[in-house]
Amino acid sequence: MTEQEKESENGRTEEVPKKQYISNDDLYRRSSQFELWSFTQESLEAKKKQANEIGRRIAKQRFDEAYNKLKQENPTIFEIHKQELDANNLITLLSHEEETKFIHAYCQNIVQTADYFRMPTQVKLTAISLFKKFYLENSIMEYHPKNIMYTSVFLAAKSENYFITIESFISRLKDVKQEDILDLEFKILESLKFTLLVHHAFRPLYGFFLDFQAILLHPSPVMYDVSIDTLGSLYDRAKKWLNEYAILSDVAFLFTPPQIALAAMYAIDRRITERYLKEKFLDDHTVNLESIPEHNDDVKEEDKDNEALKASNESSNQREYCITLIRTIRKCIKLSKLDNPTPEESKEIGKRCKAALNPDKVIERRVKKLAAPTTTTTNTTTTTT
Amino acid sequence: MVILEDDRSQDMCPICKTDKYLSPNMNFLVNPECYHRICESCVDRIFSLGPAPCPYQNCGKILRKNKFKQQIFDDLAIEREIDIRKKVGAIYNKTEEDFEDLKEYNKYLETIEEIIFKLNNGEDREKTEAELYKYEQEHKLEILEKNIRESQKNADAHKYKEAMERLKQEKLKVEKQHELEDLEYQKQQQQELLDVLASSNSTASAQEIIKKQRANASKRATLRKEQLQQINSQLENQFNPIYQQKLLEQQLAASKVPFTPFQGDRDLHKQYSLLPIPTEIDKLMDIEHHISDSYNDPYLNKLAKSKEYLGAGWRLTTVYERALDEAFIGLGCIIDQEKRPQKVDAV
Repeated sequence: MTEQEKESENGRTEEVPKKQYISNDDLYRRSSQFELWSFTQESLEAKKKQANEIGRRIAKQRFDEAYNKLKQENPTIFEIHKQELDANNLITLLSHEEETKFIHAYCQNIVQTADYFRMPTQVKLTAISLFKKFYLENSIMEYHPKNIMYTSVFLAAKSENYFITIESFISRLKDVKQEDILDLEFKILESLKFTLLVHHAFRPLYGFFLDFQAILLHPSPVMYDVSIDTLGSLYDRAKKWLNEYAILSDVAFLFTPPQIALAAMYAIDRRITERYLKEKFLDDHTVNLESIPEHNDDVKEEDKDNEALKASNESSNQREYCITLIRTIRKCIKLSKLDNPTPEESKEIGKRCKAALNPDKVIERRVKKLAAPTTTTTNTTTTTT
Repeated sequence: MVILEDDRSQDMCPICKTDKYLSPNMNFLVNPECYHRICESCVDRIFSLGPAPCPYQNCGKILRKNKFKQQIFDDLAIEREIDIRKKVGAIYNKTEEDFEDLKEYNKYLETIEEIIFKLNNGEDREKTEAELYKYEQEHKLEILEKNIRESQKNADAHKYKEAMERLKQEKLKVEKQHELEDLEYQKQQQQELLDVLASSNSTASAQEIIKKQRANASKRATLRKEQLQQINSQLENQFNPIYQQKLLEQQLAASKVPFTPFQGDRDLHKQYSLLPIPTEIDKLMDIEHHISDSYNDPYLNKLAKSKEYLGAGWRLTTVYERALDEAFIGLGCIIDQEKRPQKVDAV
């Protein structure tokens, strides 16, 4: 989509402007968040796959090295228990879906950690964002999420101006050393391509809370049952919704912060939000927004386009804009509500992740187990199987 | 690199042990080969007969006299870096106008910085130097061309200055000549007047004759003034082409769109209209009753009354404006459409 089409879609100047004007949207298009860290669903998936691919390769290499080393050390056991020690059966690497689940689980840990340190929401959100971005470039089979998580929190605190010294940070955490965090800091920054500024959905949400007031209550109330109290509770619930769903899911990569904020409003109270959008973006308030199809069916879209063309150009542009916006919002809501992994699931993935990170231990244990029955009683074998 | 020594030894030439205290006029020179400080007289003494090794112990670099120069910066590390910069800059001499966009230019600057860093920090220096030499050989013509173009630009400015200077001198010359002519004319007139007075008989007409003479003189003066002006304007016209060109260039520059960081003017049309927000102190102190037509947020209402916040410059308007601005920045960017690969878009 070219700049000009975009402009006309916004329902503003139709002819070519003499001087080029930069709209707020264009400004957003220049941000690193849009340029580097915004994806379509497909490209996000591809990116995750790519990171997973690299992780698998590294884990495989690590495994092979450990395997060959142990094989040289005790060849007899490897000779006897060929089947049990078959290289292909010892560890199973993680798929990128499993990685996503595990990262999701760790994002919940970030929330807990940030709450434990009583950090502002802003820090929490940035920490999650940094953490997620890191794992778009790297795999959990290369870096275990635990230390990356703490480093993300520490880094986010610094970048969001909520400074905490490394000493007091680690003193309140269990089994984390100062070097663990400081050594990873640069690695994370590098993966982030040194982009630390993150735009979150919370301030736009507050902006919409204000603009809802301006549009729906002033100069006189538009809806009989909407007062400042209703909007206040709508805002509070929308905040909760964001905390519950949006910040943990991948929507920040797929939508812009204002869209996510509107989605939160829309998810809480569809009626008020639709009314707001109508009042805000359409001159013709009679248009029925309910009739917008749920899915981006191509045929239906064409129908819509034809209909819109029949109407006057100005209002069709407005409608088009509004419809795209609502479609985007609905999609955002749908994608926010991804199922959380169960604790058992994440525990299982965590185990395999550890195995992928330290294959030598796994093989060693297996070797010991196989070597044990020859010297000791059969007791040990029954317990381990 | 020289290790910094104490102040006294800073002032003493380590070769001849001459001290600044005893000979305050002494100067120190360094050679970009090794940056060892040697006093002027030592340089004259040692290197006058041709290249010789550096007199510092364990240095042994062969130095030439013509390469010696005055040290400008106290810190030799900086002195050295600037020398390297000069050297690299003479080879990588493109300017911003040689590039299509800023990104390309920045990339170019980045490579320059990298080379300088490598040379300066001794990180595979030989390799970098070889590369630098290779680049110079390959781009010899380009570098020369660029140099010529740059010097032409400088020369243009120089020429203009010169022309203006000449114009001034020419004007002065003409004025001087005029003055001389005037002086001669006056003398002549006086002589004539005397002659006329001597030859005429009636004394009554003497007054009249003097009056006539004066009228003549003033007429001539105005005439001369006009002449002078004409000559001046002629002279100016003569130098005008350059002058006019300058003017034209200035006009062209003015008609261009001024630089804006996003290649265009900001669209100042806001996507929301701000409700009136109370600003007077009396209204703020009783804010609950003055926001019937404004935004209402109980939390901010409390802050708006706090004197600490007000005194520190905190304003309700900025808070509201920022939140509203952010609510509409990027609302219309549909990432799913815009980030889709071009092929899909075409279908």
